[in-house]
Amino acid sequence: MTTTHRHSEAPGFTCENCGRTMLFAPYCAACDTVYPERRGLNLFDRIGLPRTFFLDPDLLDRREVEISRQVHPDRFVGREGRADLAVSFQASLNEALRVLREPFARAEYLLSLAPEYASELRDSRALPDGFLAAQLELREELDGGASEARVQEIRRRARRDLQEVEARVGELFRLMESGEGDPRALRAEVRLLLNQVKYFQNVQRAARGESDPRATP
Amino acid sequence: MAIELGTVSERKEVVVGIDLGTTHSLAAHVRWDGPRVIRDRQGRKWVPSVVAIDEGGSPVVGQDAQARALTNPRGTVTSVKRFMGKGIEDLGEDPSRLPYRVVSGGEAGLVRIEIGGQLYTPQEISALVLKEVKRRVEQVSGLPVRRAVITVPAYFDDAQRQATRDAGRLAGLEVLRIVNEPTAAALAYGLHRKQKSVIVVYDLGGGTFDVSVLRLSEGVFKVLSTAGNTRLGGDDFDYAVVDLLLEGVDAPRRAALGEDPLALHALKVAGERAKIALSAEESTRVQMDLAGSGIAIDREVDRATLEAAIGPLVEDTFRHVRFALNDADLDVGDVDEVVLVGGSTRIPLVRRRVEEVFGKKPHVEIDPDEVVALGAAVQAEQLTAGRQEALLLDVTPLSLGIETYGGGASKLIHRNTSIPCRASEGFTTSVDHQTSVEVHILQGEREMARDLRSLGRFRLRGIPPMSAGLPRVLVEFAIDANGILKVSAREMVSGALASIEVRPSYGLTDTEVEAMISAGMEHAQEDFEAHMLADLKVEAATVVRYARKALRDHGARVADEARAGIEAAIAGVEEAAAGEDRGRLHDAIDALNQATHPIAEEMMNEVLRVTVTGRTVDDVLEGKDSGMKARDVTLG
Repeated sequence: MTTTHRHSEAPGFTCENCGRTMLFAPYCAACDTVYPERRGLNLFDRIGLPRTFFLDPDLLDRREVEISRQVHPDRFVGREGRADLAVSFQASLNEALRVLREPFARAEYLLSLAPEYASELRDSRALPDGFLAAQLELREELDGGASEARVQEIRRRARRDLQEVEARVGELFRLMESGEGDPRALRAEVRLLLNQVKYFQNVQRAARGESDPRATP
Repeated sequence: MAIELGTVSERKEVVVGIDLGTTHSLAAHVRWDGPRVIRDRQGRKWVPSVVAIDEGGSPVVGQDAQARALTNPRGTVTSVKRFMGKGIEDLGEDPSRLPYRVVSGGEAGLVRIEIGGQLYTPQEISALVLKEVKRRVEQVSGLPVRRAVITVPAYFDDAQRQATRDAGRLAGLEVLRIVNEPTAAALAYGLHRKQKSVIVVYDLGGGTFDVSVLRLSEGVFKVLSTAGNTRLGGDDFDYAVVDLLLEGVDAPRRAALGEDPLALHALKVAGERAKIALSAEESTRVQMDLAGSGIAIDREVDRATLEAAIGPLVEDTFRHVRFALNDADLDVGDVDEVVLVGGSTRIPLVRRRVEEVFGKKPHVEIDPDEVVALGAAVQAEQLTAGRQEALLLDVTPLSLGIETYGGGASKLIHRNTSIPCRASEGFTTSVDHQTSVEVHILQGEREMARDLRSLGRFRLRGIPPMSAGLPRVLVEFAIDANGILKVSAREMVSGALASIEVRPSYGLTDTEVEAMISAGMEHAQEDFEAHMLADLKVEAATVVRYARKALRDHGARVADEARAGIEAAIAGVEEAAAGEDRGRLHDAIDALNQATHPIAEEMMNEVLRVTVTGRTVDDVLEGKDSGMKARDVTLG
């Protein structure tokens, strides 16, 4: 167990076979050793990142490049038995990046790691009082031919709402990660905020009404 | 030295990069001194992406087929790339306007092309082009070509990539990787050796415009976004010039032109020539005498006039550029490099506007017609020689999902997701004791299944009878590095892996490919028998009409025997068209085509005289610029 210990400051595993530091937990590219049991690891550990809401986007980009260089299927052309594995490696890297890059998806994922996730958070659709009614009104306004100026106003507001939610979610995680406040209560509040996100996004999309100019998709 | 000799003798194959283009295809490989386009024994680098079927039912590909497009348009397939992986309803154009016949075939209504009474898939036609590329490289190198990288536009969806890969397999090639054209272009420029940059690839070809935004970081390329117009390119500029040339021609004469494919072609060639000439010069003179249509043209066209005519089309490309940048969350100012691809980027107006819009000089050092093939060769070399400098990371261009109860759609993979990727989602049954569920695979951005492109369906059987809502069906989507999708489904509650029957309605299964390879170009088509007789009669009438017209307009130029032969052959076709014997009618049409050959040649020569000055016939057929000073364009 000691060899696979995760350092709190410097995440990443050490290969049991060659002793090198591994950025991608399931596979050591240096000595071609596969660790199938590590597939169940959480997304942060999988790609050697600290488990925090405050991930540096540049660090994610760097991980993408570093790990892709080790596991991308193109590295394994013509190598019997490794090509399929490489597809699944790169797919699991991409999955981790996709979830961890986007702040709301990252927040949701962090919630899913909490002990009370299945019992309290996963199926909660809770929204603030009056939220749904206000959103429905906005949608009706958009569908009912609101003036261009009004549409723009609604769009700007949805954007501002999303920015505010993101800032507040960040604040809650800051408290959680610094050990201030009751983590369970903080997570419940994050849940309540994340539940509003898709409504704001839908309003924003409807107000934008953009379409792909490609002539034949 | 000894080492070098050793490696040469060990070279047992040529690994190529192939740009399988809409109008032309070409191959390149990496030599000791860098990537080079491969020319055949006649020095030709292009294989026109044109396939014809000759009188004996054998395929003719490339320049030879191109020569036939004029005289036998119905038997000649051009621009097949537009049909790859597409259904009739996806074409977005009226199939009856095509010179050749396309029909709907297979369960998903995929395009099939009919030539000479046989049905071909677009994959098969493309495979013939690839085979010709392969043959020429093998002939000139003396080494077999077994493995290749083939390029596709970045916006190609799963079905189109799948079809391209199938075409490669049908041509006897192991497709190492399907690579995006813009990425290949960036590779050719060696941009992968830069540390970090944002690259825009502006690709204005003969018939299509594509713009892609790539991010490069330490040798890893990633397509961030792509946009474009599949109906905008150099051909439109040619037609803009033709419109200029026809200014002042009255309506009846213009109408007559519509009936005269050769005159139209001559005009298009003249338009193209003038356009090319104006890239180097300020003004050019076009003189044509289209005797058949009673139109005489003598006009001086200057660059400013051309630019005014094509300006709006060029500006339209920047609308797509902005869209692509927007999609990638970037501004014009974030762009570090601009790469120009496609012959139409030689036009000074295009270069000037690109420079103005991006505020920097675009890369133009490599021939914009060759750059994609050269990049594909670089990638092929890297994949096989084990020295991987660049890594290409792609995204899927369209969302993928499955149909849910009530006609909705559930997206499993969203567009612009990095690939390879996997996604799975659990579903359940809606009826008690249901023992099978249908998985309907969909592609696109809309919400309802009916608005989305159907990629295929399969049925998961063997679910133990349970109450509705109890079974847990897990559907998994997996996209590989080439952007090709595999779908599987299993029922989790029963524990046992239920049987899966996958029937992709696009692309081809391995068995189908095997069958096609072994059966060659044989196709079963009993169902089409009646239909085809009717079509053949229509074709007979057209062929007779053209033959009569050719006799009237150009008959004087050929020998008496030839004229008599044509008249006899016309009678033969008319007689056969009155009967029901398809084989006989077919033969009669062939005989007439054969008989009109001398006259067609005469007409072809005449058309070619328009442009042939200073260039070889191949150059003309290849439609490429050899730097000739075409100040005067004359016909007849």
